[in-house]
Amino acid sequence: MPLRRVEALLWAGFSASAVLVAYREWPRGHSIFAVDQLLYTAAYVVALWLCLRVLSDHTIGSTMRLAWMMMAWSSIFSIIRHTFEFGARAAGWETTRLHTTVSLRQIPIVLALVCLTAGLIAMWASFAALGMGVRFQWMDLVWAALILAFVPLIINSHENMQDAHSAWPLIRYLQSASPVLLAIPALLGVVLHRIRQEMGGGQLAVVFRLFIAFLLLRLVALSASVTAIRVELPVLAAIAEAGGAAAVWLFPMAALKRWQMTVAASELARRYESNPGAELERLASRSTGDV
Amino acid sequence: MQNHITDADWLRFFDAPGDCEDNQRVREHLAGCARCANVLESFESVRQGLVTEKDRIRGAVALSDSEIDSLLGRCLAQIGTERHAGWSAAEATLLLRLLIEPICGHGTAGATINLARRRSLPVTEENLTSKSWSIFISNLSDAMSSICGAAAGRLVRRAGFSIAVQEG
Repeated sequence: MPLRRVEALLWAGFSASAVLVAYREWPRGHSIFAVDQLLYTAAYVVALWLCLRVLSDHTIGSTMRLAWMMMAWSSIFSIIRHTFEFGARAAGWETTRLHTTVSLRQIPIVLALVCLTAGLIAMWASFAALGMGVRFQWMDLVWAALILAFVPLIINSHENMQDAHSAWPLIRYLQSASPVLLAIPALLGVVLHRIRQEMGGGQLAVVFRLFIAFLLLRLVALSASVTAIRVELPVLAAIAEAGGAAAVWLFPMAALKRWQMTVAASELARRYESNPGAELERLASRSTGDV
Repeated sequence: MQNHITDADWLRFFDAPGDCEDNQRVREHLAGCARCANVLESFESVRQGLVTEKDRIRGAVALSDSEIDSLLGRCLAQIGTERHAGWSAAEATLLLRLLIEPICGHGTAGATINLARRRSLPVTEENLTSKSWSIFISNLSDAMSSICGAAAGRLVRRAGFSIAVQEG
């Protein structure tokens, strides 16, 4: 499938998820069955496919390959989680087995977050080897403080979390850990933001921008869904949840942008192989044009 | 004893197969000498074999007009670059920087180039030269691969080795 079509598909999924969740949340009570879960599953299937392609572009044993491998594993666990949630809703377990079988979804949720965190750390390590993303500015600390402020806010409202009343203690612990597990990748989003600033543009910076939006929007969405905002400011909560639903699509979008980078670099390398003279002429004329 | 046809006679016979006096003498001799007639027969057989092989080889390496045009274009492009055979290492680095900036940004381009330069030069040297260029390109390609993937590393390698670097 042409990559332009994949991109159009991802934006369509982004819009559909946002509209669907907004419809469900405001005013609350509209039924969308489990179509949102199907959409998320589709998003992570595309993400998995793209992550596998991107990791194949990195040499075996490299840190960046490990990063994309962890992203791929995170996608796998997310697919399991959303497929399971769709199945649970379709089987009617949300009314009969909400605190038992359904609460098992916390296992793939936690595994997905752990893999995502590991992937982001590996990505950071790759840039740190170049001396990037190791010096922070006061604005980064402000962002980090803001993100950390969400954690107690969510923990205080943990009773409203979907599996806080699971029959199994392990699941309850995992659910309690989710604010922290969401906050750590969001904090790594600040690191990515610093790296992106140091990059100073380029295609890779677009990848990072999408990752950052993905990480932060999910945290904001979780906050809106479990805190008092949901009751006191339903419109705001609906917007945040719709944003969080749409944010899922930013993950495959980031992987797509990264894969497009590989495709473009391969094409350019082919041109340099077939006609190096003409390509160098073009590059040199660009340099004089820039001057 | 019969005077057989000499090597010089054969050369003259094949080079100018006309009706000169020497060739007439050769023909007369061939009519009465089985040994020389056999030699002529083997010569004819070899010549026929060569003609057949020539046609076969020509057919095997036949190029279409578009392939010939493409080859010509590449030759002209290579000739065109000869004018720039004298890139200094600094100019060549600048060109590579220009190549990779749209992929990874100017900050990452600077960081990878600095890392590759540090890895390619001895402590006592500061500037890249034509001698250190190859190792610099390999290191830059590795650094780019580690961040942007093997395709970007390959691009750097191909472009880098296409630039003819001379002592500035």
